[in-house]
Amino acid sequence: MSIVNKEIISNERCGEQLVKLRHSAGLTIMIWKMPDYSTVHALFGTKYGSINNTFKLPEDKDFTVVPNGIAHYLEHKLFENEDCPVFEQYAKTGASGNAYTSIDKTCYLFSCSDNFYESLEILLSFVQDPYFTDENVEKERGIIAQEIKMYEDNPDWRVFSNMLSGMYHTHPVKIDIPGTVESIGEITKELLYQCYNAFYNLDNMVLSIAGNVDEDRIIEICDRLLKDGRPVSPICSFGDEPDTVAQPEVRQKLEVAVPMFNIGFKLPPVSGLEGLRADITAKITLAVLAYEGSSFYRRYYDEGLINSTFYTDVFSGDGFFCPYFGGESREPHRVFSAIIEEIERCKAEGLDRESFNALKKSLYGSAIRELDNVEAAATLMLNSHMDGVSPFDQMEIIADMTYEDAQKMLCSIDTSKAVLSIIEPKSEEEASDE
Amino acid sequence: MSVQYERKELGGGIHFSVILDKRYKTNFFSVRLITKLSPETASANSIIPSILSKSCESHPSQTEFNRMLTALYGSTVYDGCGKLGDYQTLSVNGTAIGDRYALEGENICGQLIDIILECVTRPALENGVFPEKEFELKRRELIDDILTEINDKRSYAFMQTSKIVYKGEPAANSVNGTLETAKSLTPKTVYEQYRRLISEAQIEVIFAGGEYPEGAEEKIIGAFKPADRKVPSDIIIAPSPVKHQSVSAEDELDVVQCKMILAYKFRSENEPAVRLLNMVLGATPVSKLFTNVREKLSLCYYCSSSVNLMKKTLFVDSGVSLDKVEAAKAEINRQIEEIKAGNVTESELSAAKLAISNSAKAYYDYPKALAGWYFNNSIRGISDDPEEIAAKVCAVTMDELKEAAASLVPDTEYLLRGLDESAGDDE
Repeated sequence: MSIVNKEIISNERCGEQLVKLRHSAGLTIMIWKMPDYSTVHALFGTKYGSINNTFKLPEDKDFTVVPNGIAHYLEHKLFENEDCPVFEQYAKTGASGNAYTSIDKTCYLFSCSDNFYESLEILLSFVQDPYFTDENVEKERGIIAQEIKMYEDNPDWRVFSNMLSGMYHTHPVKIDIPGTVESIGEITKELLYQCYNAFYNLDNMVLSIAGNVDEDRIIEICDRLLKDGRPVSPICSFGDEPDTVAQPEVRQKLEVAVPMFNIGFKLPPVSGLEGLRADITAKITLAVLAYEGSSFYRRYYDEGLINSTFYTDVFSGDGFFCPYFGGESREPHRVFSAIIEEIERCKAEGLDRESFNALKKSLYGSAIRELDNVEAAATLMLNSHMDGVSPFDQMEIIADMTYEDAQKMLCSIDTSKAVLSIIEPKSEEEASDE
Repeated sequence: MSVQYERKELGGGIHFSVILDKRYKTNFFSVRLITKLSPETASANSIIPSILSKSCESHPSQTEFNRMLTALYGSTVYDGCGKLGDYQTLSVNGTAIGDRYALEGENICGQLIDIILECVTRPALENGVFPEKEFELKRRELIDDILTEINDKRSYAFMQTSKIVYKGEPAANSVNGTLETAKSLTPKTVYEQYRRLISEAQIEVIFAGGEYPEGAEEKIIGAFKPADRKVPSDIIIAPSPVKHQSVSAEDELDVVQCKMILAYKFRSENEPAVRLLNMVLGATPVSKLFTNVREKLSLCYYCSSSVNLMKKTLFVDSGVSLDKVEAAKAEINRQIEEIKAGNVTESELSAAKLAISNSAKAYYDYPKALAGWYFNNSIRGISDDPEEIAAKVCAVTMDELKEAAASLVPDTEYLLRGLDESAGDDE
C-alpha cells in the first residue's frame, strides 16, 4: 500500500501551500506543513453525522432507518478500546484528544507538542478498531442521557435547534445531534456495527494534519496501520423535503431572563463549489443588511429592540440551506417584522454598495485569520475536502464576489418561508424587569 | 521558541509588553485597566469598556466607527471585563490581519494601535460626559447581562458559589455589579469614574503579533502621559481565608440537570504542586475525577477541577442528576483522599505532567492566549514563561503532591437543584 496520487495545492494570495494525498487504502490525507509552530493538530473524520440516519448500501434493496443520535453514540463508543481506553493511551504521549459529531460529520482529533507520530498511531488504530459489547453499549447510555439533558437546559442550543425543527418537514437536520433519551434507548451493538461498517470505510474518510510534521513519516505510519477494505458507498436518504416551512413559529419556555430568538429563511440547498459560493454570498448579504455599521442595526439598536447579542449567520449542508438572524429581544415578533421589511426594502432599493465593499474586505480578513493556527488550518482542510472544495476556494470566492451576486442572493430569499423560534422566560416578571 | 517577550515600565503605573513572532499572521493589541473590585464601582467600571470600544473622538458615531473597522479588513475592537483575584480588569482590545496581507499596502497595525488608544483616552463625548443615548443603551445592556447571568447554568452556579466562598472579600462581587447599582448609573457618574481610572488604575498595554509595532511606545506615552498620572498602589495578592466551618447552600431552578460545585481552600505555598494536584485530580480526561466519577461510575456528565491561584481555592465542578448528587459528592471526596494517601499511579502522574508540558508549548501558537498568560502572571509578579512554569510542575515529587492535597480544606458545597427530573415543556 502507498500513495496513489499526490496534489500540491497552493495559493499566491496568502502564500500558503498544502499537500493532498490519496492512499491506496482509499483514505485522503491532507498535510499542511507549518514548520514554525509548536503544536500539531490532527483530525481523522468520516462523512457521517446525525442526518445520516436513513441509508442503504448499493447492493441493498431497502433503506435502513437507525435510531436518532446513533452517529454521536458511535463516536462515544469508539473511545472504548478493548485493551485500554483512548484517553489513557493519549495520556502516555501527552496529546490532548477529543471527538465531535456534527450534523454531517464525525471527527476524532488530537493536539500535541511532542510525540506526534505516536499519537497519530493511536488515532489511526482506535478509529479503525471498533469494540462494542452489550455491556459497554449499555454503560454509555447514562452518560449520553446526561449530555442530552445538558443540551435541554441550554437556551442557545434550543433556540437554534427549534428553528430547524420548524423549518424542515422531513430532513433529519431537524433532529438533535445526540438524539433523545428515548431514541438512544433503542441503540444496540448490532446497530452500531452496521453504521460503522457503512460509514467508517476509508473511502468515506479523511486524515487532516497541520503543524511541524514530516510527510514521509506520516505516509509510513499510514502504510503500516491503514486497513485495506473494500470501498463502500452508502446512499443516504433525507426524505422528500417540501420547499415550504413545517411550522412558522416555535416557542419554548426555559430559565432565561430575556427572550431569545432565531429567525431563519428556507432556501434551496446547493452543494460543492456552488454551495460554498452560496454560503459565503449569503453570509455577506445578511451582514450588509444588518451588521453593526448598517442603518438597520443602528435604528433598532437605538430603539432598544435589539442589543449587542444580535448576529447573522448561515447554516448549510447536504440538503439544507438556511440564512438566519439571532439575538435577544423583549419583542421578537417586532424583530421578525423589521427583518422582513428590511429584506423587502433592500430587494426593491438595492443593498448598500459601500457596506458591501467594506464587508468583502472584512471577510477576506477573516479568511486570513483562519490560517493563523494549526487547529483552524487542519479543520479547514477537513471541512473543505468533505464539502468537495479546496481550502483556498473560500478566499478566491470572496475576491471574485460582486455586488450583483449579493443582490441576487437577497432576491432569492422568500420571506414567506421564514421561521421564528423564540425561547421565552418561564417567569414573565424577569422579562419585564426594568 | 522564536517568540520574543519584553515587558517595560513606562512610568506612572503603566507597563507595555510586546510579544513578537514572525509566524503570527494577525496582530493583537490590548489596553487593560486594573482596579480593586468593589460593589460600589463594579457596575460603573464594567460599563466603561463597553462604551469605549464602540466609538472614539474622531468617529463618534457607532455606525461610522464600525464601518471604519469593517473596511480595515474586518479589524475588531472589543471590550472585556473580568475578575482577577480581588481585582476587576477592564480592557479594550483589538485584532487585525498583519500588514503583509493588506491588499492595498495599508499600515493596518499602526491604525489599530491608534484606534484603540484613541478609544481609551479620547472617547466620544457630549457636553463633557459620555453621550446620553449611547450610554443609556449600554446601561440597558448591562442590566440585561445581569438578568441573563442565569442563562448559562454552569457559570451561574460558579457565580453563586463564589459569593459564598469569598463572602466579605472583594472577589465575592460580580464584575457586573448588581441590578440596583446598574440602574443607578448616569453618564456623569460613569464619566467621573472613567476619569479616575485613567489617572489612578494600573495600566497594562500588550501587543502580540508578527511585526514589531513601530512607534507604539511613544504613542502610549503620548496618550496616557504617565508623568501626569498618580502612581497607583501595587496589586496585593490576598489569599482567601480558610473557613472555620464549611458551608452548604443550594438554589432551585427549573432545570433538567443539577450543577454541583465543591470548593476547597488550600494552605500549600507550593504553587507548582497545587497546579499538579489540579491536573491529577480533575483537569484532564485521564484525571481521577474524569476516570472514576464520570467514566467508571457514570455519576456525572462532566466533573472537572480548576484552581484560582490568587485566592488559593480549588473548585470541583459537575453536572449531575439529582438522584446521584450524594454519590457523586462522596466519590469526589474519596478521590481527594486517594491523592492525600499517595494512591496516584506513575501513569497518572506522568500523564498530568505531560499534559502540562503540552499545553505550555501550545500557548506559543496563539498570540492572544500568550498575551493572556503573560498578563495573568506578570500581575502576580511572576515572570516565568509557560515552559518554565511547566518545568517546575514537572519537577514536583509525589510527597509534594500529597502535601498539597493534604492542605485542602473543604469550604463550600453548592447545588443548583432542578425542580424535578422532567424535561422542559415545548409548546
